[in-house]
Amino acid sequence: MSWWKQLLQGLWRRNEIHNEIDEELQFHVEMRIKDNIALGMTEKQAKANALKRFGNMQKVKSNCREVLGVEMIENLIQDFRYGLRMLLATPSFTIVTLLALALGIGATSAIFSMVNTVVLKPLPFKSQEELVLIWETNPLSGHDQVEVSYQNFLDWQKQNQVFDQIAILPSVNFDWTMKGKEEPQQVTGIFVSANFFSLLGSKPILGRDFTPEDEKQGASSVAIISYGLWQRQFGSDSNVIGQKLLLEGDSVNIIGVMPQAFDFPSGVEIWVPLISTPGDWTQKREFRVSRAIARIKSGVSLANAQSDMNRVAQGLEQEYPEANKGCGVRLIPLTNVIFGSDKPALLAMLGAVGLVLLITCANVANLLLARAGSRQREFAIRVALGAGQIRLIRQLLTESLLLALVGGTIGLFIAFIGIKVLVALAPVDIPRINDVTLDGQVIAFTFAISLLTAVLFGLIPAFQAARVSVNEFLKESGSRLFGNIHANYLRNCLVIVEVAFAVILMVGAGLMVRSFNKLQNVDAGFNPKNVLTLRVALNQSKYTDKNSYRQFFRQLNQKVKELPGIESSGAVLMRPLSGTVGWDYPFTVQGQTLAEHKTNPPSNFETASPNYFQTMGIPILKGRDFTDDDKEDTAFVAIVGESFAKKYWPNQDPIGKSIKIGAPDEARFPWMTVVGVVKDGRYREWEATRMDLYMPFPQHPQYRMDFVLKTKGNPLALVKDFNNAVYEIDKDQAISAITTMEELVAGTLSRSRYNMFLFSLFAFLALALSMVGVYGVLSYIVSQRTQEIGLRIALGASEKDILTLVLGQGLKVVSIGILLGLVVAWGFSHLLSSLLYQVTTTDPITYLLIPIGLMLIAFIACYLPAQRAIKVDPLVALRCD
Amino acid sequence: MSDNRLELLQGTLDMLVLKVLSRKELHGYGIARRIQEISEDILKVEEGSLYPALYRMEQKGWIESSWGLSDNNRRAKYYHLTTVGEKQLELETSTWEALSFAIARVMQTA
Repeated sequence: MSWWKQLLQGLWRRNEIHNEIDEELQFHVEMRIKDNIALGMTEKQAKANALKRFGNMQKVKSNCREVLGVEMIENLIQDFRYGLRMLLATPSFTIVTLLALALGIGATSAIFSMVNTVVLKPLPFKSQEELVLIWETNPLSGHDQVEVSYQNFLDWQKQNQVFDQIAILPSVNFDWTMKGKEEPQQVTGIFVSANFFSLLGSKPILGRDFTPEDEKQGASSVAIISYGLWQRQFGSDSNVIGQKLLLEGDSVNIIGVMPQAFDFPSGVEIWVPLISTPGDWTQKREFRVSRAIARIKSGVSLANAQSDMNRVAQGLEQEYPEANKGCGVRLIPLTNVIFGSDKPALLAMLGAVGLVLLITCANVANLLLARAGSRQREFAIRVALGAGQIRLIRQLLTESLLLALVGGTIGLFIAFIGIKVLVALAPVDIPRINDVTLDGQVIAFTFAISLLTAVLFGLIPAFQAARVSVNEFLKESGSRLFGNIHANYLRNCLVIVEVAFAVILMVGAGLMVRSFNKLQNVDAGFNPKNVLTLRVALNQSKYTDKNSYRQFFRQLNQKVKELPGIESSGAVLMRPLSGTVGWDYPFTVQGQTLAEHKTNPPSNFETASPNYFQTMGIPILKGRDFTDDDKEDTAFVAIVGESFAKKYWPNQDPIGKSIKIGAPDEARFPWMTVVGVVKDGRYREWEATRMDLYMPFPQHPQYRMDFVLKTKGNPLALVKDFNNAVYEIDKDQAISAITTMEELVAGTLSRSRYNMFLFSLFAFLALALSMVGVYGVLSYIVSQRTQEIGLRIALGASEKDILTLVLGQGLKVVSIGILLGLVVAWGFSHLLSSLLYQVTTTDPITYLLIPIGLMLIAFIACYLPAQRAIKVDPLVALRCD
Repeated sequence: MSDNRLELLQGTLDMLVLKVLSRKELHGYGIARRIQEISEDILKVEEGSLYPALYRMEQKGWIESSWGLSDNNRRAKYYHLTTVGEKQLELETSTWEALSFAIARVMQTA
């Protein structure tokens, strides 16, 4: 019968088969004894003779089983048992190896899974590599990311030769008031051209996509909602199609639900077709408020697409010099945009975890080699007793496999828990972080690596043992065989490599810790303590003009001022740390020519209420704050940030100077007098400041404002009161983006903190593993050289001498490793530079502290075996082996 | 040690076992004893090779086994020849006869 059937039989009926063979042979022996006695032998003789005639009874039985085909499984089981016994007999070795394997596999699998899901897994778009994001550029004013003009977009569609489709959408997401059956709430939404979803290659799971009919003027209002919105608002009811929603006061028909994985632009939950009507903003070519996405035709490279679009842009520049002067086009792969900010960190993480894996393998190899060295005697004896080479090798293989499998399984557990921990601690805005699970491929890969290591290094001693001359070995005492020179060299090299890797990781972690420290200590320019912040975005179909904005916010400001538990309150257009969104307005300083105006960077435009600065703890450096007297019918005033003042009035008093929004001759923006200078705020990124420009909100009212309230106690306790204040003015108005400034600050730093945490974790792992390696090697050397040490002691060596000898050995290896690691780290740390803030990649403090720290720990790791060496009793050591 | 009994090659052992079983059903020990008896103690059957051979032949279908009771009421495994085995015996016998005839001729004339 086929071999696997035999295998199964061997497993099932193992005992039965054993017993049958035993019984049969036993019968034979007894019959032989009987006959022998009949021939005249004594019972003893008869028995001896009977057995002798069989020769090696075990071998005979084994041969029988072999014939039956069940011997293979027998051997396997035997090897398994033996391997298990051997492993249990040396618990410290086994535990350490298992730990090393488990940690290595666990950590690698966890991180790899995370990176795979977040960065490497494809987006729910078709052929995502063909997708690009399109911005306009204006090299003249130094901008390489300018919003797109709708009219330009239309011409691009007609004139390009490299795109399948182009779609257009606003450059920022909107906060819309949505009312279903319950209270009004804010939802993030956006307009898109009708081909948006089909361009991306993603379809609604319920209902239908937009069609060109939906974006025609006069078409009935439709909307597509996100999976999350569908779950929350409609309880995943499949009858949602056809239901109506009030969006900003307009009734829209829900026609589709997007799949769960679709999240573009990030955070948007409702998509509405962009309808262009005569006379609206879409008709003005110079109105730039959009971005575009496109799908490149297959076979066309990004470079080709870029140069074709350059051609189109140049043509448009000539055709429409007023609106398009100096305007270019920039294509960015969409995947870069979505993942861009996270890719470097995660890739660094991958690198780190790869190193950890390598250290683990080196460690396991080392441990196996050490063990093998001390088992050479066992092998020699077994060979002498008749074990075939193949048998020996197979048995060692089983042992290694056992180790690898058990270690790997524990590692899986660690990976599973590890992922849960990693996800829980991660910043919430890492895309797809919640989708991270253990990846089958990843597990298979890491398992394979550790299996390979275990097998490879477990087998080396077997091959060595097979070649050892048995006689020679049994004659001499074990420790005379210094393992062979090759093995020792190999193991030393492994330790050097381990230490080097550990150093590299520790340097990386050290740099990130320093960087994060610097980041935390950035002077934000404001005091976030106890500041509640919320957003009010007015329903623009209800509040149609600036007067209505002004009135509403004036009322609200007044009410909020009088709330109990408030130290002060204020409002601003966009609060600090709003992310990459913001209002960039070009400006002119009085005295600048048009040419000079064009070279100005954009200002960070803000409108503010009186007491805003006080509430936020932003110091007023010169002049005054806005007051209630700065109204729509009084003189136009402005407050600028410190950098603004320094740049444009370096040695003068900015108070009294004039600036305006827009070009020098743009009539609709009046000249404003500077009345105050405040410290720079961090409105966009934490790491940098911009040219802040504030106007009093009555003079430039907008449909939205962020309120800030400095509270006496817990900021969040005031949310309800604020809400009521809003409802008292308009019961259909919702509030959103409720948080505290402290949370915003923490959130901004969360990425860096996370990176630092992960890297430190790896560095720690690497350190632990490599120190175990150092300890292991040194222990082994000491045990091998016990005789020699005993001799030295007997000949008069002092404790100090022995300590120096052993420590010297260990620290020598460690030093080489440290040196190697430092050199490599120095050479490659520039890869981390995008993750570091104000810390150079060759930061001397880090490069100094790490080796010192590592040496100290290595010292401890070496000290223990050294202590053992001292305690060697020369008499005992020299006598036995 | 001087042992005049001749060792048996595996192939030959197979043939002898088949022959012995063609007469009657026997257990392993019985087969060994029978061969020894008939050959007047010249042919020695290695216990170590007998049983593997029996198992092998059973795998090939030449013989079949069944548990039964021996003369002294002990459980023993008895083997008997199958029809396939009979054919095999014929085949091996004729091969053997041809072989020994040829060898005899060479020894006589060469």
